[in-house]
Amino acid sequence: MHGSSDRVAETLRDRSLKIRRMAPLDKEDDVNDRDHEAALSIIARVAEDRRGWLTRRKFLKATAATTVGAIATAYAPDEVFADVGGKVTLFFQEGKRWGDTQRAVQPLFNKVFPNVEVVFAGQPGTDYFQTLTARMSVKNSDFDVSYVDWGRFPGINATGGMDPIDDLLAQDTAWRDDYLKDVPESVSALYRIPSNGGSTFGLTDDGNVMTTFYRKDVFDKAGGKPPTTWDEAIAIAKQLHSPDTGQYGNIACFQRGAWAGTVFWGVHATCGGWWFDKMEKGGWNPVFASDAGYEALRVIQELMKYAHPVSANATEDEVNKAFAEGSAVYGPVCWGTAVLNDPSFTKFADSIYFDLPPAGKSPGAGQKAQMGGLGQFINSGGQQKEAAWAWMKYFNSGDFTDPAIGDAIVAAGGQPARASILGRHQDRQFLEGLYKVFPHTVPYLMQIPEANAIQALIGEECADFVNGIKDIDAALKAMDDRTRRLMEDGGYYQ
Amino acid sequence: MKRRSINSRAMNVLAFAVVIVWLAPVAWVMLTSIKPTMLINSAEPTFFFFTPTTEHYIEVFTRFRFGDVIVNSLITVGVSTLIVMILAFPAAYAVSRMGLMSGDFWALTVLSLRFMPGVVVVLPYFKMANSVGLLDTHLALIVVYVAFGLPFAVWILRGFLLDLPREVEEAGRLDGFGWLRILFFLVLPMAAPGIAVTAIFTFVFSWNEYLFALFLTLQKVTTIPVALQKTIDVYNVLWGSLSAGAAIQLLPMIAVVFLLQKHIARGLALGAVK
Amino acid sequence: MAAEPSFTGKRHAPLAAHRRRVAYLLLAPTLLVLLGLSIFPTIYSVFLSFRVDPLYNPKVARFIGWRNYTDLFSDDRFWNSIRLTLYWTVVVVTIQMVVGFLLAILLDRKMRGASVLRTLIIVPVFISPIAMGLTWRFIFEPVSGLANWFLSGLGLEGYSWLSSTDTALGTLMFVDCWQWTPFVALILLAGIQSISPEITEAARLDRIRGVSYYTRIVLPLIRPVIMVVLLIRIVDSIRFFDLNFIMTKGGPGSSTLVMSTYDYTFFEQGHLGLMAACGLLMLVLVNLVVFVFLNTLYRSEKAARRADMK
Repeated sequence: MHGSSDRVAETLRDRSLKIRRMAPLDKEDDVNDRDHEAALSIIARVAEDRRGWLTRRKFLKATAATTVGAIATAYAPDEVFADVGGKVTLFFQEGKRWGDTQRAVQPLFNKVFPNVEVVFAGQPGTDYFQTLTARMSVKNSDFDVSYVDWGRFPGINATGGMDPIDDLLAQDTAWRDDYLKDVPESVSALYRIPSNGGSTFGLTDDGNVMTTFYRKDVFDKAGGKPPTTWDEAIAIAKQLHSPDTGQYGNIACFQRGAWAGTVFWGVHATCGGWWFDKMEKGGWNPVFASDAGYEALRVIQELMKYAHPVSANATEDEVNKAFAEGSAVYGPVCWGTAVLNDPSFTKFADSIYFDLPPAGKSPGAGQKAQMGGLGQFINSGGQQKEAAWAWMKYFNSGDFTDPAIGDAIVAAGGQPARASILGRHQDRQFLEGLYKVFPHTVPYLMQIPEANAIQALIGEECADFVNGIKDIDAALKAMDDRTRRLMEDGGYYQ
Repeated sequence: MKRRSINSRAMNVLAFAVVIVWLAPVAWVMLTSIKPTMLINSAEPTFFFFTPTTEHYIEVFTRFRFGDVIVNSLITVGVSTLIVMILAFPAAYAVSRMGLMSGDFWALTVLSLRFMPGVVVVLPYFKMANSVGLLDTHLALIVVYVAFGLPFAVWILRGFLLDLPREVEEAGRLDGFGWLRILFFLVLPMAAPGIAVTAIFTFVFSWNEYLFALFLTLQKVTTIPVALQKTIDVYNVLWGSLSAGAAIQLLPMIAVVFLLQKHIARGLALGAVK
Repeated sequence: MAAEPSFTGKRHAPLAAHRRRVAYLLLAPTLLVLLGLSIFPTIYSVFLSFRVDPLYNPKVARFIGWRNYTDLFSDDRFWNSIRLTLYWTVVVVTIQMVVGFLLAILLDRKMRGASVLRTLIIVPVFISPIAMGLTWRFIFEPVSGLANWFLSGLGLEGYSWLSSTDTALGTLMFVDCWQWTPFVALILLAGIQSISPEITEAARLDRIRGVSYYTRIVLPLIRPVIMVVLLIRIVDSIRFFDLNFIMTKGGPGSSTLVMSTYDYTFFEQGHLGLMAACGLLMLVLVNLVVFVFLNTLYRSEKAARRADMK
């Protein structure tokens, strides 16, 4: 393994060249120091490209399979750990970001750990959480490492089936320090579980934000920029809206449940809202029916006038498809993901850009994006702990271990949380956007086991409001009442 | 009778037209399975004039391991259907023909076990399978499919058996045949077509079952519906792979039904004879 | 069973008792298997339905008496889901039986390729609901979907099909009928074809043809088949889940939130207690409907038998 900090200084010179599309990063009050530092370290590492043969251009044009194959063939690790053996079974949901990335890294991993067999037990995304939790709750030993949304960590952790990894991390402090420096604090903190003494249970190499997606060519033609306030957003949605030509003002996923829940909270947060008055004993009172809550629903109501018709019951794949075919050109709060920059998915791959969502007017409002992303943990019921840790640590490595890992992940369609990897792949607008947005995020859920259930119920109420089934007062009141019932059951008011 | 034959020819044409229109959406799935992804994601539908691709079929067999998956489906669904038929035939005979005072009650009891929503019972089944070490085995799925297939099979078979002519059995009894001989040598051949129909529908309902297959398998014994569901990325449905998988899933069924066509017609026919 | 013939084949006396013993012997394996496999899930569900038992936080699980039930009864969405389920069942089953019968008549003819048609028409039942449901969603996509593409080709205005509260339930009904009408048709068709040639010939001699042949001769004769299909379709319509889950998942808003989808949301959100309570209530509803249905059926069957014997 080799460090790269010595190369950082010498590559600083190139940075203006390589990050041409990146907006200047001003330090703002709400950006914490660690994130700012992490951001600067990206810029420092931007130019690093150990393999001259893999030019950026080639990287973008070739198909994912070709690039991943080329990386694996060219890969020659400095060190080989033949003494680690066993079989690691990976439990994850199938998809570009979690399935394809792991499959892309596996050949590299096996060159470093030739005696560890990797078994892929990919699962459908539907009901993934239920199958995983069911297996965790019976201490199932059939898998070793799982890959799950950070929002699910507190809930799955409560089943008692996760291994804490602080001790494992302490065995290789150099690696740990690089990880903590490279992954923004706002991301890595999500894998330390407050309800379990703040211990670390997961590592992450996947970052995701719910933020503004827009077609730069369309905005340029209309003479607009991504709006910074919701008033501007509504105005531009109105301006862009022309159903006769098959172009709609905006789009969002309002399917009842979790999807609408994330959209509501996405807008709610930019209006200065929060879920609870205080997140400590004596607090935990839901405050959806507040200025921010009312403003959020009113903004949503206005936007729906100019919305793509699919919005009323859309999931994120429908939103992405609308962007892919060109009928959607502006989504103020969408999950989107890197697939929108994939030339094999849409012909607009080069012109879909990303920015922070607009801000509201209520107290505490600001341009904030929701932080998503997935991480891996070790199943305490698993039998192959050594192999499991070897895989987890390798897969979640950054350039400190080897840049090839990040290259493989990006080529396969992943979206790293590692600053070093993001920094080298600024050519893909989403990775640039991801990087830009990381310091301005709020968690997409509160870090409590009840969070997903609350997200789903606010989504149900929000979807009923959007579709005219409930009025604004009833919807917000129901959010508060139902959340309070869940928190009561969780013993938060005792 | 000239008028009638014209009428009849018009009706023939109509029959073909209706079936073709009815199946158009399925044809669309088949078409999607050979289209390049870019065309699938375009705003204008494409019907003809594109270069067909086999990439989705290759993907389905490599990445989604359809080779193994089809074998798993055939084993679990095939064996469970066989067990269902072996158990259901005597049971249906008992509730329909043997003069059980409470035959209707039993028939209803048996049927009502099928009424529970799957999500409610899937976790208990998962726990049961885990406690006896059957998770991720064919056996676990076979057991569940027997449990869910049996009520349906008993109910349909009962309908067929109720309407079989009784004279043959009477004759058998007069010849001194025992119950078992009557059941298996006289009734079984008469009811064979009905049994074929029941078996086909039992097979189909298990063939498309998703929830239990998801919970009770990990990767070794995954069945087709679960593998198909894996083509649905949260952010991006792999339409090509999904359609290719659906086509592959459908073909064996069509072949079987085509072969059993005569039996189906005759089978259902016997059920309806008064 | 009024028409049950007596028989005299066996010498040893209480024949009825012997028959019943054999009958129970034949029935026993099935009952044992079903009881063995359903007793634990059922008891477990009843147990769960009196608890708060979050999948995401087992530590706070405890008994709460009837609260899950009272919570359900005080939820508008619960009553709405029952209303939608019953409405759904009545509309969908009626359409499927009527159109299914017409389709059966249409396919009831001797011609070249008839067996091919009869094979192909059953494909909607066989094809994977996951793939077909998504494809239908794709077809009904409001901007680029095939449905609106055809409408605009005809110069008509398109609809938001699945993403409007006005049309979503109707669109789902359409797809459900597309899938299940062939099932009904095929079974009715077999019934029609089984009518003995003598009866058909007699009808022809009596100049009973066309519509009156089907209403006066066919319908009464295939009554048992109709009843079996009807019962299966009623039960499955109340439990209707697959297509709803894939195409609308109860939305937009709660406009297609039928009971099974409503119950599923508790599963999805990890409220196992509410899920079990709602599932049991659904079980009660299905049993109630089936009980009423079968009661009427048997009463009329007995009446018919009595009429036959005269």
